[in-house]
Amino acid sequence: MLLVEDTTDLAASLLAHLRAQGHAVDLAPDAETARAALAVSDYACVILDLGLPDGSGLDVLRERRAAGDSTPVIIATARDQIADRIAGLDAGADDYVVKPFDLRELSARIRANARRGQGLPETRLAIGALEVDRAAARVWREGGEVRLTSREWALFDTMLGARGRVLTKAALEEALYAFDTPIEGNAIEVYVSRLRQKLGAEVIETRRGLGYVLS
Amino acid sequence: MTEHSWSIRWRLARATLAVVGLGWLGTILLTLWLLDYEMNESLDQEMALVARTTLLGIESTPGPVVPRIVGMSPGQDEEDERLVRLSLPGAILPPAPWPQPAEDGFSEANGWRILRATGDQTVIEVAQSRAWRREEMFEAASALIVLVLPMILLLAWGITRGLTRTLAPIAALADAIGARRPDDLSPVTGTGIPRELQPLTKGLNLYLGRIDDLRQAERRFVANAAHELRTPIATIRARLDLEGDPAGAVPMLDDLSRRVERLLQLARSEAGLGLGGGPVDLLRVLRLLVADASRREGVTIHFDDGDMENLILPFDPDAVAILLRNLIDNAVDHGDGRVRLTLTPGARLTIENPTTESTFAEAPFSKGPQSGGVGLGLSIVAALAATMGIGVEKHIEGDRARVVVAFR
Repeated sequence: MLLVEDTTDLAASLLAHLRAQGHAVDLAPDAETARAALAVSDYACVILDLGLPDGSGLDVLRERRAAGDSTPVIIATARDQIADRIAGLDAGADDYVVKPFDLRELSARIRANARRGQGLPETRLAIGALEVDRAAARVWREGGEVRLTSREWALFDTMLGARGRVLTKAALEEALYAFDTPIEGNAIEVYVSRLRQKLGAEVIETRRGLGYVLS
Repeated sequence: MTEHSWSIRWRLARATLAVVGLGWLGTILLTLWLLDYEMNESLDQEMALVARTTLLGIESTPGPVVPRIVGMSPGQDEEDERLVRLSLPGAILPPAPWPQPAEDGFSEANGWRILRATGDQTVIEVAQSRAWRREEMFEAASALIVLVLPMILLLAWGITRGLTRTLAPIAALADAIGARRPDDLSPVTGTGIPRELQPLTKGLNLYLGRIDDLRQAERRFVANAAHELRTPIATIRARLDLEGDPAGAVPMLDDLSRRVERLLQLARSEAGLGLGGGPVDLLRVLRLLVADASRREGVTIHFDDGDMENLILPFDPDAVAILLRNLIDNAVDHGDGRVRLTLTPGARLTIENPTTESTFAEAPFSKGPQSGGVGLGLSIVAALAATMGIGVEKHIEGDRARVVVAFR
């Protein structure tokens, strides 16, 4: 793991915490050191401060993403505005934590984003070409995050909870009852069609006369 | 435009038209008076000429003169309006609408103007009715007015157009200032503005510059304060976390951090944060805020995005996020942790939560008995909503608190 942080005392505490959690951690106190470290090592995760003495962490992130580096990056910064956060996520960050943060919260974010060996983060499931984080209600298709509406996610999440089992149309409609709007007669067909478009046609299988099953 | 405002262009046009119109009216009246005088003189000369030539003709013709009355323009409409009476001294007068004048010369009687002249044997009276003379005058005056009226209309159009063109740079400046985004404090250009108004644009630019400097300084201070305070607090908090927080200081530190954050948010909202024009994807901001709020212990957020994937609005993203974060935190702090967010068409967001309280604590630093907040949230919301022109309605019905944010 690589920690990019220029505040010495904070970096020392974070290093001690991460090492106590069993992570091997390198420290980069500036952008130049971070660039050099990222160029030669393959990290499971990078914790990146934005305000660095010799430049912006955001530039480092953009450069790595432009070079095809897909190492998970968690931005940890004092910049708390939503525009900074959106800019960080758009630049390719996987998560964004605002200082001050709880160290347990940082660990949770690392579990949700850092690769384990060559595999997925701890909180993610692999379903074919999909990666799913049920707790965060997020889904990725071939590495890119797919945006689902709340109703689409509710339906998909119900199917995730019953993987391999056939769900009747009535059972799927129950997932939509939480939304206080009338359910049209063909609502399930419409949402299944939309999910197939976003996640892949092969993800949801139709069992004629019975219902649907997540492949 | 307020009900007391007035237009320079229309006021100038009205004043100019009134002065010029009065001038024209005076000129026309004077012209009519002269016309009346000249026409009377001309008609009198015509009467004199008729009298003289008729007398000459009659008296140079052999034979007796037959007293009679004849029209000066036989067969025409005014046949009965212009008459000549021939008579002999001492003979019976042919009947006429006027009495015989006592002596030669012009006289007026019974609505007629009469010229009496006496020859060697004959008395001639040439008469024109006043009505006919007035009608002649009216026709001449009408012709004058018909010719002048288009000129007056042309003049009015010319004056209005001239004023519009002259005042166009001022109108353009006013439009440009009016069309500016509220956060645009760049100098106005004085191009085309008349010399008399140049001090106004210079003064305005000076004023805008001062406001911009103050606002930038305030923003820099707030941004620097946020950054400079967050980093040391993060350092202390990490150290306390690492050491297991033996003194139980972390909650106090978190409270301090929250207070500082709210004060900085209030400062930013009052420094015009919401004046920025965006755009912002409301759905994206809401998903981030819902994810943040859901991480708090004991908090369950049910978010219905109205089946929309994005919703682009013309607002500053940070202002929208601060406003909504405060409302969501308020719903969490004043309820049992269950919050329902519903986005409906027309960009209306409803935030609902169960509550045991009966009112919203809206005054700065006021908060409900169960609140773990700072008491600034709704003040920040009110300041931002006012700046952004967003409607925020708050109701408590029974055991449910409901806030509706209308973005449009």
